[in-house]
Amino acid sequence: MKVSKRIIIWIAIALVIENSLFLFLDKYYLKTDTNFKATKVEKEVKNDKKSIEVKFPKDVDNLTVSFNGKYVSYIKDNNIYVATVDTGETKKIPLQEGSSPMFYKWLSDINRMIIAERYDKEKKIRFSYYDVKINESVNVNDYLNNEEVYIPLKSTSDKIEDITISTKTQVMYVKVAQKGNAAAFYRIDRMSRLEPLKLTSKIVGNIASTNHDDKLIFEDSTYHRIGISDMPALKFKDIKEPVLISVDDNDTIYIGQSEKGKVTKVYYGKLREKPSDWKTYIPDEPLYKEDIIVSSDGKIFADNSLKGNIKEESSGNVTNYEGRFLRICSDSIYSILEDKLLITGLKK
Amino acid sequence: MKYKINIKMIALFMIFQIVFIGITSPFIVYYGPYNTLKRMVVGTAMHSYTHQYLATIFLSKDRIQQILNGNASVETVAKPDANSEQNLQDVSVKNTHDGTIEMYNIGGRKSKGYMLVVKDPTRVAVGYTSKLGVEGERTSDMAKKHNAVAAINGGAFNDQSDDGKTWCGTGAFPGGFLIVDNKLVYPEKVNESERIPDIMGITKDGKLMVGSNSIDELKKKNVRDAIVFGPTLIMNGKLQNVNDDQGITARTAIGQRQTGEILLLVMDGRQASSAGASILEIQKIMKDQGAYNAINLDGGSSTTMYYQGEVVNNPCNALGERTIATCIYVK
Repeated sequence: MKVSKRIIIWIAIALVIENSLFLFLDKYYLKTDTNFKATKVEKEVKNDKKSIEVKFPKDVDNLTVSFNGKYVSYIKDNNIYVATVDTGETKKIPLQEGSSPMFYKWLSDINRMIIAERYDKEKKIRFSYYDVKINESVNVNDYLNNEEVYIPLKSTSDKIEDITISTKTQVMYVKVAQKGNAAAFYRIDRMSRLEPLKLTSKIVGNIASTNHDDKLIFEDSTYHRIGISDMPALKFKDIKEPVLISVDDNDTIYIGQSEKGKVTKVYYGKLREKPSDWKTYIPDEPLYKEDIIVSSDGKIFADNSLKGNIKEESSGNVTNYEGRFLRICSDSIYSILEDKLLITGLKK
Repeated sequence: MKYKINIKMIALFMIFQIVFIGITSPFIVYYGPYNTLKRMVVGTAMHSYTHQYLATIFLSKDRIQQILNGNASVETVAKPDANSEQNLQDVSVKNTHDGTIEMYNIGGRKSKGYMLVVKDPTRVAVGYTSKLGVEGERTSDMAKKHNAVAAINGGAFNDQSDDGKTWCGTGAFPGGFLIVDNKLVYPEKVNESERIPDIMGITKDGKLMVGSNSIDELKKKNVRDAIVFGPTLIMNGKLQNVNDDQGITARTAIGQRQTGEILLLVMDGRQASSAGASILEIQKIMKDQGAYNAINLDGGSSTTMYYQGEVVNNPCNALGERTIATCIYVK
């Protein structure tokens, strides 16, 4: 073959290679990609206890853990669901017909909950209780006087913010949040007599009650003190802005000194003790009051959700945990990570 | 005809192919009909700092500009609306006690990367090298200094070394200006009323600021941290008219959803498994992930993502993570 012919063939081959490559790059590879796939990287969920998974649907309300950690419940689509932690089973609790649960609260010593509910189009809040063992929801009724037990709703936007339950006196206090910062308070005693409660304060924050006293303890934001129904308010000399953190099962009340929205010092003691005799605890750094957790047996914990750990005050033990904090009970931290329940044993 | 095929012939053939293709490809790329390829190569070369010669040897400055503008004349380049205002009130910051961070693998045809979704935007802040003016720092080192759980590289920096040699310095000086914790950290004096076309900022309540602002305006909008980079990709939920003239390379970007979550994105580049992403592609990824506001940050060899104690992406430098002036970290 003539050299020139060979060279022409070789040039042709080269051009074909080049242009095919450039055509591929130009028309396909380098074109603006409009198809990007995002795949979530699943974290390894490490459960200290059994390998049974308790899963929750998204967007649930009122997700809470029962007193001994055996049940976790939530409100979704007008129903209350209770998940058994040991088996992972979730079931809808039987409510009375026409009931729309607004709020519920687990009792502090048994697996029973108080439910605040509305029936159909009634502008009334009624109450029932549900016990896991009995597996029945029973209306709270005033059998003695045969009177209806309900809270009249001023407006449909009113919400039950909290219910305090005093297990020994069997008295409940209910806070109904109304428009603006207004709230209405009610007391329900063991005979199911319901009556409104008038507090001196116009702006009330957190509420709580002790097991052995029939008293409502509340954050009085009008007068910057901790108010107590039917008793003089608790006055602390150096606290300008007291916040109510918690009450434990032994009737110890935990109050925080709030500066710039965070708690810098915790005072704890009993209702009838002199405030000057109360003990104090200073967290390592100022914390939001929601991040100070008191377990039912009176241990104070600081929740550092950004660092993902909880530090116990008296021992200084730090336990790492993942996800959103739910509760401390039965010596473990209950949290929810990516819609799954996570139980992490506390460091001893 | 008799073909004399032997080893010598094959070797000669290979050499011919290599030499011929090597010589003719620049001409076919720069002067041929393959416009997307041309624009990509010129854009990538011009924005690579070290390999601009790949384009400048063969093309005049005007011609380069024309190619980057997609063959439109220089004056008709679509410029993002420099006067439109960001509606900060559209963004609501809610999850301030939620310590959740989600991680996603992002995969495309010619690039792959990672995105972190930080639920609590008040944790996100700008950090900078502790040896400002002297030496830059690696993203991972800045993150460790702040005890951060995550970090990405930040904005522009000047890369001059001691003896004035460019491109071998360490990122000692932030480009433009740097505001951290509401203080002008760098430079000492700057024209506070001058409007800069693209700035990334974070307000005191965790809202991401994008678009054009002057330092005066930033202060009025309650800025806490701010660095200079761009272009703005998405503002007020609308895709910005970006000029896709930077080719493909590793990229970093930050965005925020209307519900407050901060999105941190890195896409690897200049490697076999990930050639790189273009500005338009970063914009698309941010839009896909729900960004209401988003802005491009420094890419190329600076692109770094640090998460849970390690660098999770593959920075495209032979010697790994490069030192830079600023970063964005998550407390």
